[in-house]
Amino acid sequence: MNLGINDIREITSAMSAYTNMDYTEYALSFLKRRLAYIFDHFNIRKVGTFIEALSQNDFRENVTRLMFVENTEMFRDPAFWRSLRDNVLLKLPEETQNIWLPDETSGEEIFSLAIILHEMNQAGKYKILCSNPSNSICENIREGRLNASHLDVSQTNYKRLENRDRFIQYIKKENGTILLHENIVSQVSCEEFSINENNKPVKTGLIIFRNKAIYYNTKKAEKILTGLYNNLLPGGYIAIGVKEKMPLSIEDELIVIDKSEKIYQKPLLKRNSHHA
Amino acid sequence: MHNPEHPYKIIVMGGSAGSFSVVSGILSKLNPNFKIPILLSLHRLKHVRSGLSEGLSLNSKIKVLEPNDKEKIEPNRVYLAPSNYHMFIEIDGSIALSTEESHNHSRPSIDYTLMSAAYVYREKALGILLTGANKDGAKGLKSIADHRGYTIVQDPVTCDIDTMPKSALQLFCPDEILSPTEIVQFLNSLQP
Repeated sequence: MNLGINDIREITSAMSAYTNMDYTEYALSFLKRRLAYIFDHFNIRKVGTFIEALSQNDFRENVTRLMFVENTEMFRDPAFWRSLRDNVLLKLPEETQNIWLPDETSGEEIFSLAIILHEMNQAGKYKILCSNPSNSICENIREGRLNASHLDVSQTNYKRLENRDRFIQYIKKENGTILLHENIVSQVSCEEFSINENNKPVKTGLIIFRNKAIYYNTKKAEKILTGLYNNLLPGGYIAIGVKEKMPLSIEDELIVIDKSEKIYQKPLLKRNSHHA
Repeated sequence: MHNPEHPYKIIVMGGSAGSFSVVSGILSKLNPNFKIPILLSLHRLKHVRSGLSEGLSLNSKIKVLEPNDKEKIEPNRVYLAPSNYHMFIEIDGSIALSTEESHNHSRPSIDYTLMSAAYVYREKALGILLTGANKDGAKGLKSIADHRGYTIVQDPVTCDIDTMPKSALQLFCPDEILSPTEIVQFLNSLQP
C-alpha cells in the first residue's frame, strides 16, 4: 500500500478524533510505512475503509497496538544496561517510589530492568511501572509473554552484560509460548494510559524512554522529553536511545552520567531559571 | 547516461558481505570537496556499535559519521546507518532512525534506505548496490529506478559475493553496471 502525504493527513486526522489515537505529530516517514504495514496487516486497500473501521472498538485497539514498534530484544545495548547498573540503580533519590518506562511496547525493556534489579537484590525497593494505552500490550506484559524470535539475541545480550550464561533460568515454555518466570513478572506492573495524559506517576527517580521519541516529529519529541524530565524527582535520572538527543532547551541543565549511553541526571538544584 | 539537467541531491550506497573494502576504496578516492551527501546502509553486526565508521574514516576524503535521529543531512558528509537501526530520510531532509522489524534479516535494511531516498528525492536520487550475500537492496534500488532516479549495480564479476547485485539484475535493468574503479570515476565526474 503506497500512501501519499494527503492520505496520511486524512487518516491521522480521522484517528485523532478517538481517545489515545492522536498521531498528527508523528514523523511523516514513520507514519507512511507504519500505516502501510497496518493496511497490509488488515488487507485494507482504501483509506475510506480504514477510516470507517475506526468506529469499531476492537479495530481501534488493534491499530493502537500495531502503531507501537515492538522492542527489538532484551538487554539491547548491553553497555547501556551495564552503565545503568553501575552508575544509576544504587544512586536513585531517597524519595524514589517509581521507576517508569512510558510507552513500553513488548516488555523487553522493563523485564531487562527487573532482572538486573532482581540480581542486585533491589527489586522490591521500587514500583517498576510501565505504561501503554493498549490493553492487549499491557495484558502481554502482565502475563510475561516474550517474542520467541527475539530470544537468541536476548540471551546473547545477557551473556555480554553479565558475562555468564544463566538467562535461560528466567524463562519457560508453556504451550509453545515463551514466558518470563513469575518471580520477575510479579515485580513489574503495566498501567493503561498514554504518555500524553496527565496522570504521570509521582516520585519517579528513573525514567527509561529509549527509541520511542524517534517516531515523533521534532516538536513533539521535544515536548514529550521535556515533560518526562520535568516529571523526575530532583536528582532523578532519564535514559534515552543511544542515537537520540535531549532537547536543547534542557540540555544545559542536565548532568551527563554517560554520554555514549545517553543517561542523564536532573540536578538537585536548578542551575538556571528558564524551567519553572 | 545520467541527465545533467537533474543533478543528484542524495546518493545511497548499500552493501553487505565484502562491501567494507569496496566502500572504503570508493571513499578514499572521492574528490575531497564532493558535495552530494552519501548515505551508507551496510549490513553489520547488531551488537557492535563502534568501529565501522572509524574504519571507514581512516582513508575517507569526506567526513564519515553515524547520525543521530533527526540530524539534518548536510553536503560533503557520509552518513553510515548505525548498527541495529534502520535509516530513513524524513521529508524535511533529516535522518529518521527506526528500530522497526528486521527486513531480510537485516537492521539496517538497504531496501528501506533506498526506498526512502526514492520517495523523498525521486529523480534526484542516485542508488548504488554493491557486493553482498542476500537480496536486500534489490527492491530498494528498483524503487529508485521507478522514481526515475539513477541506479548503479556493482559488476558481479568484481564482487566477493554476487547475490545482492544479481538479485537486483534479476528485478530490473539498472542504468550502469560498474566495477568499483568505474563507480569512483562516475561519482567524481558528477562534480568535476
